[in-house]
Amino acid sequence: MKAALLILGRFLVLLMGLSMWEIVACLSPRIRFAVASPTTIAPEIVDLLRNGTIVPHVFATGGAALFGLLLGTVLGTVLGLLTWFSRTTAVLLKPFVLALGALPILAVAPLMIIWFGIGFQMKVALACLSTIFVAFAQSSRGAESVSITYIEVLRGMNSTNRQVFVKAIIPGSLDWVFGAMRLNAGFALLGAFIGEFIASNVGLGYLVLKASNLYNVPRALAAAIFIVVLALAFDWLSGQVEKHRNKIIQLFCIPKMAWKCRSVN
Amino acid sequence: MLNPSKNDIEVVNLGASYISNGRSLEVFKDLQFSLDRGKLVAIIGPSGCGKSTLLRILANLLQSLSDKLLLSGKVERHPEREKKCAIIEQSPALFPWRTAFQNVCMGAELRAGLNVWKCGRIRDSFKEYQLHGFEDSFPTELSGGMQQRVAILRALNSEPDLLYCDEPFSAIDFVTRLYLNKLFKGMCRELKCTTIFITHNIEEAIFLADRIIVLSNRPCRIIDDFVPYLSRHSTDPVKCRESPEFSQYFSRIWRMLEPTSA
Repeated sequence: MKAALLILGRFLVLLMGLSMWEIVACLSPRIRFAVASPTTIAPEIVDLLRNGTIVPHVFATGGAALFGLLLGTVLGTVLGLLTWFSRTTAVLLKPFVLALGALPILAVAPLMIIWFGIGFQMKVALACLSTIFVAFAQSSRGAESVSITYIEVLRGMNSTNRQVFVKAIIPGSLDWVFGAMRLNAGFALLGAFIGEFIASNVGLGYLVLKASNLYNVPRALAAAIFIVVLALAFDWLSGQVEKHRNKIIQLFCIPKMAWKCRSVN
Repeated sequence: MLNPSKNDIEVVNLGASYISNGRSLEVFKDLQFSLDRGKLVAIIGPSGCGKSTLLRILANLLQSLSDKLLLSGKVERHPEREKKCAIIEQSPALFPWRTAFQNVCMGAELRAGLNVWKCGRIRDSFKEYQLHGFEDSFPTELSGGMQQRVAILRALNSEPDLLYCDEPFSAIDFVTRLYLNKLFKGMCRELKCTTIFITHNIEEAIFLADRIIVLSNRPCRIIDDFVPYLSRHSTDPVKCRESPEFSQYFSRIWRMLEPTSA
């Protein structure tokens, strides 16, 4: 009941926002030209959906962001976790990682064109680059913050450094890793989007750029709405991964024989 | 020198002090004792005297101690027996991402590897500790006493030769504590492991220990070292109090720990 009311409330807020937009747009044709209006954007969305023109664009942007996100998360996390083995290395690398992480992605984008061309790989590289430093920093901190008592219990049982890493550090820092991944979902999309803005012939970024070059505001906004949808989908996806992290730990970090005690009879 | 046929640990002139702000604070000095194989040694002392520090030095867990600890003297361990150790902490320290059963499996995973036979043994030990039915529960779903029982099972199921206990029952209610004392003593006898048991509970020490070492306040020294003998019900933590020796030992230790006598 409460949930239904909440949905209704949100729907009303949306409706109010849209109608105010519409009213403002009706004030003068110049405003209407600059900000478009819900009634001019809606047909654009329908048009993009109807003949399927949107599909390759969504796949281009979403695919580049997804590949970049996975690549950046995996690379950054593996390297970040490995810094646990050497405190010195972690301290040594920290300022460099921070510096590289602070570099605006737009600044390296032209370089990516030189390295990877103007195709799909360039967008993946940009998405990867936007995520890798956050993944590295977070997993490095996560590995460091695993409670000393867990490590002590394992060391007390004569485990080697490698065993401590596998049994305590990796599962113990996954909260941080998945937290970083959720944060990165947005960054990856932004990276891919910027790549398309710079050089592309397909993708949502391309669609927005082309439409605004033609002063077709409704179409640009329609494309932007698809980006919002894509961002929400990414957030949901990484939220699902985060939610099921216990299952992921069970699957990868614990021997199959110990999974369920009751069923081993 | 360590006598490998008889002793598992030999402590020679062990001293430790913390360095802070250029001043050194002596924790203990000239500790000297050897631990016999298969015996349970209780180390009892006033709080803050450095018992836990001593345990970590004995267990070779120096990484977890502060860098500012300065050691002198040495600890010799039996080269074969020190390869199979286990520690029970004050807090259960169960891995929250593992079920109770998986926590207990840890020792086997680290050592020989988990097999069907070992899994069966672990299952049986859950019944023995009255944890039957909670094998697949996560630590957060268990009560404090149950968590500590799982932690004890985890240590014992790694089949240690040397077992280090840092006040394992201190956070547990009295009744459960008595019950766990009894189980614990039985299990240690069965495993024949050399056990170092840090505690500040006098009664627990008298019941459990084959030998009791009493430490003084800082800078801590050994002020008493004796082998308690209970003539009656030595396997029952409640009935053993009927032994006439029990109260004698109790007052003997109390006199030394009493804050005014320091």
